[in-house]
Amino acid sequence: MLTQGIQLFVQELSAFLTLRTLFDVLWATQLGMIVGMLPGLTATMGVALMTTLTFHLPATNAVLILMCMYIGAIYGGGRTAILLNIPGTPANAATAVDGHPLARAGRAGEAIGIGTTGSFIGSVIGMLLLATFTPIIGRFALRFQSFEFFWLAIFGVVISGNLTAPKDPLKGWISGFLGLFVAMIGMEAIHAHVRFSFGHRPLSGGIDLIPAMVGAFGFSEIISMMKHTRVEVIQTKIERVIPRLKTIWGYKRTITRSGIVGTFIGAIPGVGEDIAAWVNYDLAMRSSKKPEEFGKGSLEGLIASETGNNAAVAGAMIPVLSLAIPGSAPAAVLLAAMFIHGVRPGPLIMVENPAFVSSVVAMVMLGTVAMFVLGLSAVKQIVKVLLVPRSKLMPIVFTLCVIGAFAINSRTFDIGVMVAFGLLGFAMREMDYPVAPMVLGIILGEILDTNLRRALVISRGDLTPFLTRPISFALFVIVLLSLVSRTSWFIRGRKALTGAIIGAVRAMVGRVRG
Amino acid sequence: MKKLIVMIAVLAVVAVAMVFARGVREEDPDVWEPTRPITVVVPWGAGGSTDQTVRPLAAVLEEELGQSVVVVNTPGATGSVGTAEVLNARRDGHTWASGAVKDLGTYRVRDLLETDLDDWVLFLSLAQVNVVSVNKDEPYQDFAELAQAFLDRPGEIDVGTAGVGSAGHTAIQLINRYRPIEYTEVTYGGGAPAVTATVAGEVPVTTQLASEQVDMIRAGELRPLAVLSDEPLKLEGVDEEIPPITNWIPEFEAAPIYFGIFVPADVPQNVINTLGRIWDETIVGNERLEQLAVESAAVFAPKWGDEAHAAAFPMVQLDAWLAHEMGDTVMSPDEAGIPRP
Amino acid sequence: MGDEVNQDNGMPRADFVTGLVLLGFSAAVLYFSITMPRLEHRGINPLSAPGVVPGLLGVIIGVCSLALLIRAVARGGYRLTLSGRSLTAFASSPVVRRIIATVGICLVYAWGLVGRVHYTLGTFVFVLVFVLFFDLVFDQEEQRTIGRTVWTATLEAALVAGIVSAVFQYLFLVALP
Repeated sequence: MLTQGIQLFVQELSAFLTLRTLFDVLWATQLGMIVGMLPGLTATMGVALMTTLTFHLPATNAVLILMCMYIGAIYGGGRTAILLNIPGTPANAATAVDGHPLARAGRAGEAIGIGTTGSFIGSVIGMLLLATFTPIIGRFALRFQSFEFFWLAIFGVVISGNLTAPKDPLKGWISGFLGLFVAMIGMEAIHAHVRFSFGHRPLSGGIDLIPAMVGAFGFSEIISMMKHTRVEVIQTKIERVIPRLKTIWGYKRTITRSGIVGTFIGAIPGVGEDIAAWVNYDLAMRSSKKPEEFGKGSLEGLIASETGNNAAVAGAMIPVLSLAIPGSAPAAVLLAAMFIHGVRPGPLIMVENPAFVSSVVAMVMLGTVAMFVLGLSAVKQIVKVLLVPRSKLMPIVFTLCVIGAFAINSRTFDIGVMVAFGLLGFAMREMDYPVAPMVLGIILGEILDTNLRRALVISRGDLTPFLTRPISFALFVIVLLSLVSRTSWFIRGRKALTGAIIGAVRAMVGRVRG
Repeated sequence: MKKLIVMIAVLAVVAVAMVFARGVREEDPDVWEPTRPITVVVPWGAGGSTDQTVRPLAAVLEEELGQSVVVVNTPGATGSVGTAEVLNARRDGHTWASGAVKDLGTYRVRDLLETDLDDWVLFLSLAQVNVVSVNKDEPYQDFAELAQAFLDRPGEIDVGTAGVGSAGHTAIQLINRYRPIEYTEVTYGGGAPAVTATVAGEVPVTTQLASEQVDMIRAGELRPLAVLSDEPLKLEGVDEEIPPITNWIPEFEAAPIYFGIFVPADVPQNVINTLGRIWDETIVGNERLEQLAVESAAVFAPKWGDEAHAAAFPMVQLDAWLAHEMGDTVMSPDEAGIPRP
Repeated sequence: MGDEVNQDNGMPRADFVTGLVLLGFSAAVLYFSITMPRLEHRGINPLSAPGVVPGLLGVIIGVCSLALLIRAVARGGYRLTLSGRSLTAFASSPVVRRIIATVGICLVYAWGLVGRVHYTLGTFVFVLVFVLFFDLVFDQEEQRTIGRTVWTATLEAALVAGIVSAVFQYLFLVALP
């Protein structure tokens, strides 16, 4: 079975090794990286765009180009996050938390190098899991149903709040729940009722994630950069871009864990790379020997989030192949593209067309290698962005913010949304509220809304399934711990409780002795 | 200096002439050459039945029109969010809607969107049917057993659909009209998630489109009980035919659900004429599109304009009046120009 | 802005004000959620009424803002002082002036130029004005002459406007505003 699989894989891979295909791989990955780097252009948009453009190509070439586009875009977004503190795609918000402080400390080249390596290894781990466990993981992902999705949405907001506001998680949570509320505006997805639009027509369509994200990260960053009277000069001496093997080896546990967890999260239908990055960042911090470095430029945090989000790309392909259910938004477009090209993945694919699974694994591998090579080749040039004086760089960034916000729906209303969220984001930053949980909240709002109400309908209003279903219970416990472990009364209470227990034990011991 | 002025004047005349010539050409009643990329709004998620219908169509049209046709997914609220966006866009023929005709035709009576079927010119590509299926672990072996279970345990059996106005919603309501049953409808964001939830076992029954279930039926994850039609449905790669619901409910009347692209009727006439010509000359008889339709358990049925309107209207009538009887509407379909079927 | 408050203690006065604002906001959300139509006329399951989740979020935000408020009061944040002199000092601080300038120029571009004048032209003007304003008005560059600053700014603006327009229009197929 295994040898047969490897044989198929080698066969499929060698079929791709023509000059023409390799050229396709390179330009598609590079274009994906550019799409990812530009704030506002997302992996979903890039893949959807290429679907129509590659319609006339043979099926495998078309899917290969789309795959490379997807991998490149998720990776490319990390660069903007590191260099400008503006995540290029929502999946890179966690990357900015540590990547940008590194760049400010003059370690941008190193950060990009380690991020690229992390993305590469994440992709490879995801690819291996894709190749070996597709049917099993696909089945597991199906166990996430309405009750679990509800907890997952709450969990995402809470951990993102914890992580981005380590000193004052309350403000992180407020930001996250405000984001969830923003997603409530406009027409809801179950009964088509328009909420909180107050008769304003464009608002009835809701607030789109991308303009809000571009504003909250991009425009607010521009204002923050421009406000200082004195510029701190960032030293950028690049000594080494490709990280030492020793460095990478030192993070072997973080990398392996992030790769595996990222793949699993990617495989859960409808939950994508963004959550994968946050969860891995959280896990890395909890298990780190130096948690205090997180948020100030921890290589470990950076590598966790970048490994996680790229592993999720391969993970998102698992349910696509095994169940014909997309694991993330870009994967949904990829699935549709496969249908259009006459490839019908699904539960029977292993029986009917086993070569196709190997073929997808080969595609992921080609895209991953291309990403690694392209990612490390032009770092020295790209890091020079940091040397451009801000008065010259920031208008370019704002121009991209405006056109990026507009590009999604071609509505000028979205430019207004971008500006409004930029001002809101700036005000929040000034008062120590992180914006990342808000953006994640906007992503998760619809998941929360539809799944909570659906779960209530299924349980006939009974709340116990939220706690009694196994995965739900596990998620609930994690959410509860994440919440209370950060409150002062919990810490005080824990001390008091331990004190009381010790006292009681002593008293009892004393009595026994007496 | 004089030369310069003369030159500028000549250039200006040429420029004006070019603009004018272009303007004249655009007013040609038959020929339309789009000047910028065209947007087709798919008002459902990527990968759903509308999406899968529209993307190959877009690629064929792109070739015919010599201009990019960009597919944009704007899901939400039975497709009315995306359709509203098309209505809000400039009526220059560069923004199209898409989806199922029965949705478009019932937005007004359902209070989702102020629009009628007559506001649009329909360019249809295929027709689809609903299938009643259950999760493979459910005990029901045929439709009669399921119908009996609905009667025995009123309101206890969940039915997964894509929500008000979706094909699955209409299907269960239609069944309910002939054999009154009590059920709990559980709404998902689209046909594909509803089918997924049935496979996962979150809901036991789904009534979504055949195209959305075909892969799961072939894999044995879903057990099809009946197709909502008076003829059995044969799926590629499945030995047994799906029996028609008329085996159990002989008086059952269903109409096919047509899918396609919708262009606002008040765009320049040359847009309509050009698309109509492409439909007659290229789409009809396009083997690739036909093959895609058959694979997804649909009927390839390209038609446009009045013919398309006539073919798709019965389902609009059925759906609108059904919704009215169920209290899903805010006005009588009569008021919206939809007579009782 | 944040410099005047004691960093160790957070910013109790700002928290006090935002706590009040958020509390009002959550009350409004709750009110609108409760009064939101339950769509009985469409016969829908009341458990799936549109107001359920916004109402829940209103409650959660309310609880969070209450916690914020209580903490701020405990730290003495309710002692708000507002005098004319502190306002003038605030308005004339260079940081605030720079923020106003940045936001102002960006707003004029995003709301005034885009969609009204040709996209490429509007972008050119925006980049030019932004660069010149900050280079010439705020940070007088030492070495270079004014002429050279203007020249490079014009070049940059032209390049940015041209490349961005071309890339988005032809590569990403975006119909420019």
